[in-house]
Amino acid sequence: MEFDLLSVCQTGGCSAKLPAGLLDSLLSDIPLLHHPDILVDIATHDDAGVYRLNDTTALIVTTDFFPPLCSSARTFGRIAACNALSDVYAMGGKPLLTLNLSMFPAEGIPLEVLHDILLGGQEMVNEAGAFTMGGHTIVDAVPKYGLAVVGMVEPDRLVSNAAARAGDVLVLTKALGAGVLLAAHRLGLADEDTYRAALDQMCVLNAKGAEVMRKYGIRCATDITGFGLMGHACKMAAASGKQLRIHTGLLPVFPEVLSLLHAGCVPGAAFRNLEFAKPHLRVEPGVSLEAKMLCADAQTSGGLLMCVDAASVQAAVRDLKAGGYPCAAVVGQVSEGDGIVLD
Amino acid sequence: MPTVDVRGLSCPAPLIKTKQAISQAVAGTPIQVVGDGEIPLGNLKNYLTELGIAFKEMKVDNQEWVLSFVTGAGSETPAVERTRAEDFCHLAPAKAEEASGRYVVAVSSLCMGRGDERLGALLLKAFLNVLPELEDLPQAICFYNEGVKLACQDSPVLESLRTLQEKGVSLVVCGTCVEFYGLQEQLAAGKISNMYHIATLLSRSFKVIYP
Repeated sequence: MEFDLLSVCQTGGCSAKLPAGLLDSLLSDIPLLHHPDILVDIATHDDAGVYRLNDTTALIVTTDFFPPLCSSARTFGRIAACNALSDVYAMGGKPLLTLNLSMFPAEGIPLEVLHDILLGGQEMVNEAGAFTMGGHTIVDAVPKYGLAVVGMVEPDRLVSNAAARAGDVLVLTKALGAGVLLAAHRLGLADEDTYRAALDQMCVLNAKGAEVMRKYGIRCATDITGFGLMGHACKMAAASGKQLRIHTGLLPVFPEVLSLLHAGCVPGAAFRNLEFAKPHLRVEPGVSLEAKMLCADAQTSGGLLMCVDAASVQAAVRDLKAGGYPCAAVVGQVSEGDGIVLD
Repeated sequence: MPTVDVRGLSCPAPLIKTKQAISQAVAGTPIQVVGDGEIPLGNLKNYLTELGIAFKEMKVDNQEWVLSFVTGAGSETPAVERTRAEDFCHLAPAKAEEASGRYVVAVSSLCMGRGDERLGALLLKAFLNVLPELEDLPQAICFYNEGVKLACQDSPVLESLRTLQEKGVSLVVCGTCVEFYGLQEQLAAGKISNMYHIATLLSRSFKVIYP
């Protein structure tokens, strides 16, 4: 019988992140060295750090790991790896090298489970065309897995979360509601097919999304993970010094998610994200509580939120849909101002 | 007094049980929720706040707590119907195409058809009043230009619009037009939005009806 990884942890995936607000205050007095070749560091809360080697090459470095969010070891491995690779794509780059980061108990869980996690992860790394250079495994009661990733990008093709321009149209490439479905699944409330679809979507690399950004010269994007659409949009608005308006009626969402939210299936991470975004958030009258909490729902290996020139948005969305993101949709726009507005 | 016991449950189960009790109770019913642990307590307090429900908190001991509140008229948000999941996402494109109710109605004037204005107004009124009775409801109705007046006070079709809204049809009202006609204070149905939203709805819908 296959070992059920969900039996060993309470929160999995990106919702296991420390609240963004806590992290901010904690890091504020830790001194960092600066260097002119550092193109992106944590100052803008971007997805990854970027360092310019020369005029044609910059390195992207990032890491992500978390406890299991599904029962199957191999699927967990795939999702964790896909999620870690995603940050490189969000910067417009291509993954080059990876290291496995894993934690696993010395007893209590069969070692084959670790094998299957690593196998799933490798499948994703191979699909990304990156090379695994090694890894590190620590004994810990609750398994955790993820990657450290080095990617490459031409400095003049770098995509950041700080380059939104007024007039840009916001495009989201994957459906929201994965966090709600994971929570509902634990309680036996999620429809099996919908839950499957959510896991499948988490195993879709943002590689094609990065290709589309390259094709249309898109320079501002972020991937939607633990802080939810709301949290990541907030960071983008702050980093870019612009206002992001999100039309909740246009958001792509998995079936059932809104009724689950209506029934009270709101994961704790959503409240944390709402709390983080609140000072910068305006919710227009008429936006339902469900829509608001959907925006706050923590995603794991979520889609890219891109700022697209209005002239090319139609073509870009068409390419995204054809490229394996059937839920890709226009979800809002960028204007002068600050914070985010939900309408 | 209905008591909801959420002791030993991990999130979001306590929220779901509480919401269930709220939905089943008539307005004005006092409810108390008994639970344990800081995380469920924090989440439940946040949830009740978001629902617009004022509560009292009592600590039984280090672990256990009781939240008590009275269900109010405003506690139940009718929101889900407005945003049916299938309206958003084509996970199974073939299936989505078959789904009914995905067309959009555009109301741009006070008249249906061209000709006598009084007749046109009667026809449009009849059209909007009959719409809630249709088997296939539209996904949205967009009001623009003089059409916005139908979503404002003194409109003869307000009741039908509200019924449509309750049935999950979103009413999208052009903000520029409302401003142009100076009707900001008089909007009585629907939600103000912008041309971007309207253009997106019109362009994404497989069928748009201009009555």
